[in-house]
Amino acid sequence: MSSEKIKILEMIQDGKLSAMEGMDLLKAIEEGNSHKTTSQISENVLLKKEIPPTGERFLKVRVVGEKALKVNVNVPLSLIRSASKLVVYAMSFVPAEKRVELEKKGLDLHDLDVEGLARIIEESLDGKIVDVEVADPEEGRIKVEVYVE
Amino acid sequence: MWSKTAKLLMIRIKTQENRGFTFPVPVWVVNEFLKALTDIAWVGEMALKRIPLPQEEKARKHLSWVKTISPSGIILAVHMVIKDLSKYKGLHVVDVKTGDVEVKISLK
Repeated sequence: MSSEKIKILEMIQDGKLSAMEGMDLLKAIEEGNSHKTTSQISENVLLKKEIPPTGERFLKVRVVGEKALKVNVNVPLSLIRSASKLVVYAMSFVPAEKRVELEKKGLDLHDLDVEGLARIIEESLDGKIVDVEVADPEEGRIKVEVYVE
Repeated sequence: MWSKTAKLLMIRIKTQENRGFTFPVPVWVVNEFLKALTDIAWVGEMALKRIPLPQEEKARKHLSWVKTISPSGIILAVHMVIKDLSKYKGLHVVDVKTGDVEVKISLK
């Protein structure tokens, strides 16, 4: 086994890379793109290091109107993980017949990995998500911003 | 910065006519309240499970759906969110100002 493959496996073991990222890199090695792979590994590690610990990041919602409207919401991003448990319980509100209907359409609610989805959101969200300016007849111009900081 | 645990949940409501008022809610009170509520909901769930399903089709379907819901789980999840949030002492969670009303929720 090449040293690059071992390095990738070690990074997966340490949690620096996800299994999917590791898989992609291993595939790239097998395809003989070793120079690109090495740079990809360092790029990935650097990207991961740039993101501060998740407990310190916040999802911020800002709504500012020209007249009196002002909304300022700060939610720690780590809260998404515990809130995802709420979604899992909320799924139980879906009646059994609707569940069956969804299953027929190929959507099995039991298979939804909400916590996994929350983890991906927590890891990948960064910067501005929404930046919209609208004109309201009562409030005038309203600026809506949603971002992670 | 966020290493201290908040002790109070401050809810401030201010209207144009009034001077405004602040509710300081101790976090431990919220914790105890939700703990008790979870226990009550769990007892309710257990009692509900013992109720036999009615013969009538519609009522039968409705009750079997109600039996699948777990209110204690939902309250527990809300409790977990509040517990996690209380780790952020000094955080201004919500600050909303409309024409007449201003609402602020922060952790102290």
